[in-house]
Amino acid sequence: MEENHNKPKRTLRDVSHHFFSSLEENKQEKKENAVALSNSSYNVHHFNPSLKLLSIIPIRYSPFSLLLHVYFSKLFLYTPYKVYIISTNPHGDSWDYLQRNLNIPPLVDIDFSKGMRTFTLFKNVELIIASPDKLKDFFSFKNNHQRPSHLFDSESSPSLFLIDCFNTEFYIKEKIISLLDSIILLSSFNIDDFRNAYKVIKAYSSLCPDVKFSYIVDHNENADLADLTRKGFNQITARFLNISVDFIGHCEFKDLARGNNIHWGTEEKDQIFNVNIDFVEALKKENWSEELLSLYETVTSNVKL
Amino acid sequence: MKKILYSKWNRAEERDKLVVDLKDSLGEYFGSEWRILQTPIIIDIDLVDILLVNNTGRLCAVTILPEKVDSSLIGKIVSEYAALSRQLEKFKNAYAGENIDVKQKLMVRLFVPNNIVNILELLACISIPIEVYQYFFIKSHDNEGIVIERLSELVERREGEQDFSSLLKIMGENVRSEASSVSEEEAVLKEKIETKEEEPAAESVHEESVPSENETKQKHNTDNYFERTKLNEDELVAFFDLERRLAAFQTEKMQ
Repeated sequence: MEENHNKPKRTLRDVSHHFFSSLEENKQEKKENAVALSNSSYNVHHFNPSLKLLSIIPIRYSPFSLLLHVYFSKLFLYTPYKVYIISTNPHGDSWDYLQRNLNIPPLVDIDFSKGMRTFTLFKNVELIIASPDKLKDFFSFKNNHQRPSHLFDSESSPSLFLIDCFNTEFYIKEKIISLLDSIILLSSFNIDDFRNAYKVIKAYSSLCPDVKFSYIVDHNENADLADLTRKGFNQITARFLNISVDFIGHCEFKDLARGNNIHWGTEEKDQIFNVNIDFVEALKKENWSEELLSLYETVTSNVKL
Repeated sequence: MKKILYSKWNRAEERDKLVVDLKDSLGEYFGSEWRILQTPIIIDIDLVDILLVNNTGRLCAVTILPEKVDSSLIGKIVSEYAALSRQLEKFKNAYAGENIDVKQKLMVRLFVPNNIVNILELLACISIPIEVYQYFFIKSHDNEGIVIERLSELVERREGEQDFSSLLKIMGENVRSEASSVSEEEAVLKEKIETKEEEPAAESVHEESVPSENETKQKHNTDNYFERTKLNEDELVAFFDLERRLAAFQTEKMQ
């Protein structure tokens, strides 16, 4: 405990800097390995094109909602996935951190009235800023199975859409939610947040019965208490909503889940989520062919993603 | 907390201070003189701890809630206050000379030492007779942010009920004056309060006009969201039960 107290408090800016620096350091090393996977010679025959829509929903107000999605996208770097982060109302705090580290313009320079704007964050990660109404129109394609070709590198790319709609009005959000495949809730470890998380699940599950709910909570050092809480929460969701919620991991920065400014946690990590590997791997590899999976394993065997 | 307050109440020197505190805090919001009535003698009311009357004849009932409050206790409190409001005439007669004005609504004040969220959730769940709870104060030394959050939810759930808007305003001002700086949550709250206050005027201006598409969407938005997220009593009880189990677990671990 003393060690933790003696550690200087770090701001989100420091954390963010570390995160992006580590990306740069590892990028070159992984580039050659990743090139095979992103090679255009791998076409539709190698896997069934899949389209996943996923959203991370902080239970409390968080100005870092967009940044959370950017952090999550890192889990899919160097995979054949094309990741699109779509934000309807980016908060200035999130944007500031991104702007400092990536080649994107200041938020004030972006004209939202002209619809969607796209920015490349990383090789396979794009950020799309869209007005809520545009976003609603944009996703109309999912119902009629027509993919917006201008957004895809090739017909064979599996795509992951991370939707940052936290600040969106509910009447828009309910349209978006109904299209989602997966919702990841993020909260601090207290009963009040669990109760609010339950409310979100209750509301959204009625909009989209097939959506899969996952939960990332603050790290709690008492494993037994964490386990008891998880079980208790799942008993309630199972009893009243007939829904099982996967607790897929924890957030390294407790204050982030609470929407506060971040102070440095107990351990220096460049990854904000400590997410269950099985969850991520399953999401990554869904609908991939055996051939592509084999290639992926070969390419990544020497690289810790 | 209740025990401490009772013990203070039973010690003359502490009681005087408590009375001053009570009077001051009531006067702070209503600008009128309040005096403590003697222990209620008319009705079987276990849960009304202190009765006060001001110079306009308004009656205020004070209840000091224990730290652990469950739905049955809240239900009992509500029914007692409802009974009290129906029997104000009896009060007027019993306290002859105290100038109790039975036409004024009964004012209720709750001292809530802890578990504020639970209590507010419960109050949101059971149907509060709003004519009784004209004003509603929460005294708390911490968790103001949570209280505001919950109160704002209550206001939104009870959209259009001006009494709760008033409550929220009072609560917001109270907290802001005590806080050293205005937090973001409070700023959001302030915005909500201002919006709420503007709504009746806006409605009167456009009384005969057809609501715009945006207004309709927003109304639908609010209705839909709060309807969908409202917890029923069984769900609330399940969460209270979980909370109790977690608290018991932690206590056991500490021992």
